[in-house]
Amino acid sequence: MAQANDNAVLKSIMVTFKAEAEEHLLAISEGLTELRRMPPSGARAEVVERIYRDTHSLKGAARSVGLEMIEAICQTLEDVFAAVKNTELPVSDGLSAAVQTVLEEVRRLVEGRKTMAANTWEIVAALKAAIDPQPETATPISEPDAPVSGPPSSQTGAAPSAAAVEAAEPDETSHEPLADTVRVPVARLEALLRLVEELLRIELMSTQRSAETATLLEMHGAWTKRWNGLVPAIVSSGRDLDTTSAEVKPEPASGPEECLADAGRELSAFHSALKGFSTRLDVDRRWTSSILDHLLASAKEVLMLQFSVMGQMLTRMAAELSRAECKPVALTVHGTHIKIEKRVLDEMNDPLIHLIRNCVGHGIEPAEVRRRLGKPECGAIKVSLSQKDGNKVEICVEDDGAGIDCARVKASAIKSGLLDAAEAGNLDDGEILSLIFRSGVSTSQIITSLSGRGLGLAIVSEKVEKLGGRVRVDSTPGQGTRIRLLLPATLATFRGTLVRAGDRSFVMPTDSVAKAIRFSADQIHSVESRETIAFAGRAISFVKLADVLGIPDRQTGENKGQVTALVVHSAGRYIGLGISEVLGEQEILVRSLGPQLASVTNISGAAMLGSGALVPILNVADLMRSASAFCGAPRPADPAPDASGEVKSLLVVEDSVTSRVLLKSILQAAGYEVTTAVDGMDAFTTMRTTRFDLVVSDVEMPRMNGFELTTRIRQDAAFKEMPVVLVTARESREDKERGIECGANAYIVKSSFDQTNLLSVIEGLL
Amino acid sequence: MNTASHTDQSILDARARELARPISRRTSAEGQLAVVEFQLAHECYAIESRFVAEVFPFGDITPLPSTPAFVVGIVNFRGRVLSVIDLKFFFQLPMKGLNDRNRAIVLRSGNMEFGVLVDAMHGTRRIAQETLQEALPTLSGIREKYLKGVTPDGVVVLDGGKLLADDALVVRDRTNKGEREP
Repeated sequence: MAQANDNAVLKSIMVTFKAEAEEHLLAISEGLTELRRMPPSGARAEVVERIYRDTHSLKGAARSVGLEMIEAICQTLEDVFAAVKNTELPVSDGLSAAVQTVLEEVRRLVEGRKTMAANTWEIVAALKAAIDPQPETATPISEPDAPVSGPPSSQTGAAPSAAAVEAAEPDETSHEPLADTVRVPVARLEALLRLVEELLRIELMSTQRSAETATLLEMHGAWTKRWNGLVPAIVSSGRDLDTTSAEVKPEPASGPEECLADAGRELSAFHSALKGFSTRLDVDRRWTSSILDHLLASAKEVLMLQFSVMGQMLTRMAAELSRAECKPVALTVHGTHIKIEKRVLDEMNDPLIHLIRNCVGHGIEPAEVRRRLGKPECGAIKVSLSQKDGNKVEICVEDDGAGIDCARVKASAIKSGLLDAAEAGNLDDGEILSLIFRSGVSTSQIITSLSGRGLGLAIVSEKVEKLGGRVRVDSTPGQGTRIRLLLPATLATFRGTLVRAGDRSFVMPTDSVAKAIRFSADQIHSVESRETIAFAGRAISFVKLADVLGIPDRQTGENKGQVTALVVHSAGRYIGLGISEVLGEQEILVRSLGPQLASVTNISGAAMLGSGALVPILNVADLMRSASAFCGAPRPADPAPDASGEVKSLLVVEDSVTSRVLLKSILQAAGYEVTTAVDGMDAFTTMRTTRFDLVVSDVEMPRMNGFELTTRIRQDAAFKEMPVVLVTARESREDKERGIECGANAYIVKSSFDQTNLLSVIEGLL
Repeated sequence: MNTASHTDQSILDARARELARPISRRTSAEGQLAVVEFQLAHECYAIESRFVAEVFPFGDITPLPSTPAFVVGIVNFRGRVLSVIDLKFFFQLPMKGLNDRNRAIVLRSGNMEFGVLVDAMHGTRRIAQETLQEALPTLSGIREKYLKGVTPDGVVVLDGGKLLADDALVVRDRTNKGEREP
């Protein structure tokens, strides 16, 4: 990785950061002024919320460019605003002035100054004290006399890292002349790109109009033909009339016959005009669509980013994880000059973070193990990007760690009900490796916030497939693991296969469709209440789409005996979905379902057709899960009641009443029976009298904390096997290790606490 | 005569006092709620106009499988997707099928937007806030949750802000969302 190139990237990131930081700072300080002026009311909460979010964003931005001083200050400010938000803290003039002073300092830091006015930390410490009467002296921020130059020094050098973050020279960036360039906020460019994509609708519409005109032409053609056939008959019958009255009317010509001939001429003139119109419409359509294609390609071009932007972030993250896990790790990035469309890169953000976490978390062995194996002590992670044929790029993440333990994958898959032991025996290593992309499979023995829930790789594969890409994994035990993501360099226009199930239409992403097949119904085999069909030499599950989606399926009489199905795939699995018919394949304009439908099972969005009609787009990964649930297979996705119909009962231990109520309602909503206890002591007493299936406990509690409770549970013969999930606000390696030591099954950090996370962990343990 | 003119005078005085009352207390927005009134099944409801972006007569509605029963479906709302919900589900009113008089009241605030299916529109009106009564004992449960008050003529005024802010109305199925960085 060229250092010079790297510095250039860092500089460009700093420019971006500056712009962003200034916006946030302005917003915070304006918000604060507003806040002082306004009486306490509902609107006040809105302003505080806004300030709080801006501070939070600024903190995140500062962290991502490694400006730890700003991050630390923002943390304090965030705490202050959190306190204000909860209305414990009135916004006094003093508080406001102190915050403004601190903001001014932050502004100077953003502008590139490396030191702060001597009293700034004191003000920050005072702010901290204002919201928390007993400041934790352990945090570096509350040491007012700490030397203030550069990031806190205790943070560096703990582990060797390849991150060149500290090399940031913000001073130099401020005087960079930008010749012939315009700086435009990404948001605006993205808005522009979206608008350009909207134009695709014009293309779809003109295709539709074109087709409609063709129909008109056909109709008119038929009419002309009938007319032409009719005229001689009318004329001759007219003659008959004429002959009877020939004597009466001496002037025979220019009458009805002439009119008929005129009408015929008009008809044919109209026909050729319509034909011309149709042809011109076609020409226009082709011209529009070629211009739109160019416009779209250019718009995407504008939003192509070098991979180095992502590389920086990953390097920094690896360094942080390396410190947190106390494993020396070096991450190198190759192919940084290759460009990818920003949206693709954005989508890859989470997957790559997961992959790197996996590498550090359980790919790379601890240093002492590596020494023993004769490997270099410092683990190597290589992230490389390479250009492939036809608008494709491949991101490859390699580590030189322990590799994937196939036996453990197999065991985990059997445990989570994906396989039975007999099936597992028949799989080769490649097939077993592909199992790691399935939800619920993990090789980790303890669940932490870092890894172990078996969800990470499932998300990776889902995200990659959503973009129309593929994931491959290969691993050599003892040598390392390599995961390759084949991706489109620009987000392709979405192609969908329009199908009908029952009396409804749906769009299936064409990328997920392996084949559309038609076969006779007797080719469906029933095995233990599950239906299968043969596809490419193996048996795959077969379900009717209408059944999976729970909509009425109306089988038309003529199709009896014949079955139409789409074979779709996700994460290396295939399934046959019975449908009524395939309506066609076309480019689709994808829409979200709107804010009220944030996420819907089985449906990923809506397609707007040329006619303006909306058609739901199916989410293949979800369908697979729903289908396997429908097939009566073991359902890891359905927490309670479990297979035996029995409702699982949980004990929630939490001293904060808010958290307790929240946890209780989340778990009850998921179908569990929930009992609560206010601390470890209370919990242990309750457990003596009532039977539970699982314990969810906070860590910090009065009388008996979560660790002590777990230890007590493990020591007691009656509860030895009881699953224990620790939920905590603190994420530290010591705590996590302590959690493992005392025998907790999972350790979840509250800050990353969303309910799906907790629920999936609980599900996995029951 | 004298007494008669005395009576006249008192009437005139009363009229003068009435006219002299500050306008705000009679007709201005102060204490008045501008509402959009509509019908759900056989009952009359209203929502404050400030939450109503518009009333939208929709043609085709696309039902969505795998959604809760209160979600009617999605409609093409000027090139955007608008989800439409049916409050009758919560109010235990009979859920009638769709007809050609169906309209959606588009509620919007901040980032939230959705349509509320109504069976018929009655128009807009102003309601004096002080005439609003507390919940009737017959309005139980969830209806009370969204209730702003009931007018003397029995129109149930719903709190649009509460509807828009209610997270329970947002469909957020458990999908494998990546864990976020704290």
